[in-house]
Amino acid sequence: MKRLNLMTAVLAIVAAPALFAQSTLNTNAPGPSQETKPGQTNNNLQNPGSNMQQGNQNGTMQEHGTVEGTANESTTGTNDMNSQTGTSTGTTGTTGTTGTMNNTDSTGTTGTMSNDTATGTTTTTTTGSSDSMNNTDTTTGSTGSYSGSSSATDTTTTSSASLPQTASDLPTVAIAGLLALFAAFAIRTYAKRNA
Amino acid sequence: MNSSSIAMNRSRLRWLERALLLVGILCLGIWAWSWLDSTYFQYRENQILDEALKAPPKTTAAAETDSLGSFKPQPAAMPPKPLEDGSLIGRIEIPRVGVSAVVLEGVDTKALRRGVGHIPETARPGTGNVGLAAHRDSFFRGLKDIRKNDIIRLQTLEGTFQYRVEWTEIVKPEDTKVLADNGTSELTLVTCYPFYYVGSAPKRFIVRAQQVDEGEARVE
Repeated sequence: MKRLNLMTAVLAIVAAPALFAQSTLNTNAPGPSQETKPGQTNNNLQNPGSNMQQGNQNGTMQEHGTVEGTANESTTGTNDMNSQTGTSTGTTGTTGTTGTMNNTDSTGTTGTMSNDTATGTTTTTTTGSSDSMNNTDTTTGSTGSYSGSSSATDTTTTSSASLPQTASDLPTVAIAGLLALFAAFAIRTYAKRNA
Repeated sequence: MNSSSIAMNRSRLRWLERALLLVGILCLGIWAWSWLDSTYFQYRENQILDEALKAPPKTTAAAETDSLGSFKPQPAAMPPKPLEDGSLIGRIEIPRVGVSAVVLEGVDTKALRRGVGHIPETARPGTGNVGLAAHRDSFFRGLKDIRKNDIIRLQTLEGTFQYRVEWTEIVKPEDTKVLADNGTSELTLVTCYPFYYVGSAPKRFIVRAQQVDEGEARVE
């Protein structure tokens, strides 16, 4: 009887972590690609491999500014289903001016970038699609010169869209709780009988 | 075995017993709290929904006394704004299998603990393929008994929609094609499969229903 009680207690102690190991807390896929919504990656970027219906993400972004010398421009952006947010930083070479553009594009609206000091005029038109944005820079102006190209590519973390996780942890928690109580009761009985 | 080692063993056992007792009470407490929260939330949201459904629809007083000068053309119909996660959408009822629960926007942990979640990327009721998900061990437990031609009623503030079950299928979690919009008004219910399984179930149980008008639903 004593052995039985002891074995019950040991079994309960061993079983509780095993039950937790089966729970949803422990079944997340490895790696950083935990998608939050079907059809999207963990960066809220669209998953190009997904067959989920995607929202319209085409938009036009215009930059107006004046630069002189060489401009380096980089654009980083994140896509959401219906919104696109991008930040573009441009640097001019000779005069060392810097322009910052913040563009929030939900329905194809337009953002504007102005450089502080420059000569000439630069107009940049950016058209974004779901996976990549290609910038086309057009330079106008009599005295300014602009050379450079910019491109922005959305980095999509590899992810596979999946159906919602509909497994609740609660039954596992309840079973673990019951097992722990049974184990405590078994230990108490064992201790009393050996007293 | 001398008396000191026996006493030490007893002391260890006592501490183990207390620890297990604490873990047990904690786990059952979490379960009880979660159950109470879910039950209370369902009760409250059902009341709110019933009151909202009883309230007369808002009408604009297009008065005869309106003068032409004050006339303002209505803006063109805009697509519905995306709802916040956790906001109330309506109520799903499957009378034959005893399913009745409020539907919330989103499928995060909180929403699925408290009700049936509307998968955000899917259509709104009446406009396409509506995706709803819930736990197999709570609100969608009854789906294990569902069969073809069962009637599903979806009550929302925009109206009541009736669906007739077309088919059920067991798919892998990655199989999102079941949520694809085919251009027809459908309802897709998602829950975990198998229904009796400890931990994270490896598959998903899909119920696809087609919208029918009220007369068709009554025939059943």
